[in-house]
Amino acid sequence: MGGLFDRLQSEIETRQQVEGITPADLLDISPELRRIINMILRQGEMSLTEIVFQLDMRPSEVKGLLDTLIAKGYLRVFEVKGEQRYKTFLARKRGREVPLNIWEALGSKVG
Amino acid sequence: MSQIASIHSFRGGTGKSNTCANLSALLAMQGRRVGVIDTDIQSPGIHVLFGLHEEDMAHSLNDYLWGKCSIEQAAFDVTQRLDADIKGQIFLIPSSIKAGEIARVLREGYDVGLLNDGFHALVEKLELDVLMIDTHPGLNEETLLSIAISDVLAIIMRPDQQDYQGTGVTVDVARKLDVPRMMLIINKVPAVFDLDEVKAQVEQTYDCEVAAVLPHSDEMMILASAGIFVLRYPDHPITTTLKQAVSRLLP
Repeated sequence: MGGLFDRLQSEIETRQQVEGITPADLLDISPELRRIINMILRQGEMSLTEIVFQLDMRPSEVKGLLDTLIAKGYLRVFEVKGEQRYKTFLARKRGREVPLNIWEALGSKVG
Repeated sequence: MSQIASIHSFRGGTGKSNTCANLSALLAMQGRRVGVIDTDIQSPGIHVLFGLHEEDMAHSLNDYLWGKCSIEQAAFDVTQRLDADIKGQIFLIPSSIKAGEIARVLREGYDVGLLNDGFHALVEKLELDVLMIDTHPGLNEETLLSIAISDVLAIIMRPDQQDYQGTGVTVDVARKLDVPRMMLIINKVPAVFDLDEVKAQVEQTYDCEVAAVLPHSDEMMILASAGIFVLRYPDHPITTTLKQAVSRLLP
């Protein structure tokens, strides 16, 4: 059984894999990945053909970037009528982590 | 083609919601179908300008984010409430003004992906020409998302040292997020200032077009968000300037 540090590290890695991209992460990724994510965000969802059409890049290059984004957990792929489509997977906005009694006090005041 | 426009400011009190409501009214007067969504979940307010009261809100953006309704069920056609000659339509999606519901969003967070889906669904289901996003001031998750998905970004600022610095940060972020069209609106400029000089200085400082310079207005202060300025004062110089801003931002 691993130590506390290992378990925390594992939890952080798992969380990063499943939680998707936050809007703040957009500022930290490379410009070429950000360009693709932004484009899909603005369109809602896109196919490989549509993405290639918008970018001045070879389909194999675009596919490589899409695979990178999927591996990071930032994109999800699904099928519509036999065509693969890509959609940005945005992380859930977390609640504010403040002492519980603050919310209890507020709840009792405002219902 | 439909467009999404975010109206943003780095600091509060710049007149962001007022400007958003006025630009929306002008767009609707041109005959366009306009959606206005209040993503300032922590401190909503734009509903006041459109005369929507808490008891009128059968649903709100909060309900959509909690899965209680579809996004279009949270949209209210406020066109008739404005009592003006409007050829198009305005749909308002308010955020809840109930303190308990604001606290719940802060406590629990929400699905940001659902918010983005909601933006796209609104444009499609309400057949909008323009979706105007009234944001929370500053940079946070919602505002970054709004900026990232926008075709047009208007940043409102006042001639104030704190605004100057914050606006610089916002402009840098928007450039990094490849916003296709970004413009500044300078609001509440003291009457003693030379408006053309202010415009030139700001454009040079940020290397960004200024869509409008709006002088401080006693009429605006007296109206106090009890209505939409361009409808109440159709011949006022500020209305003329805002009309010009609309044609620059959303031609």
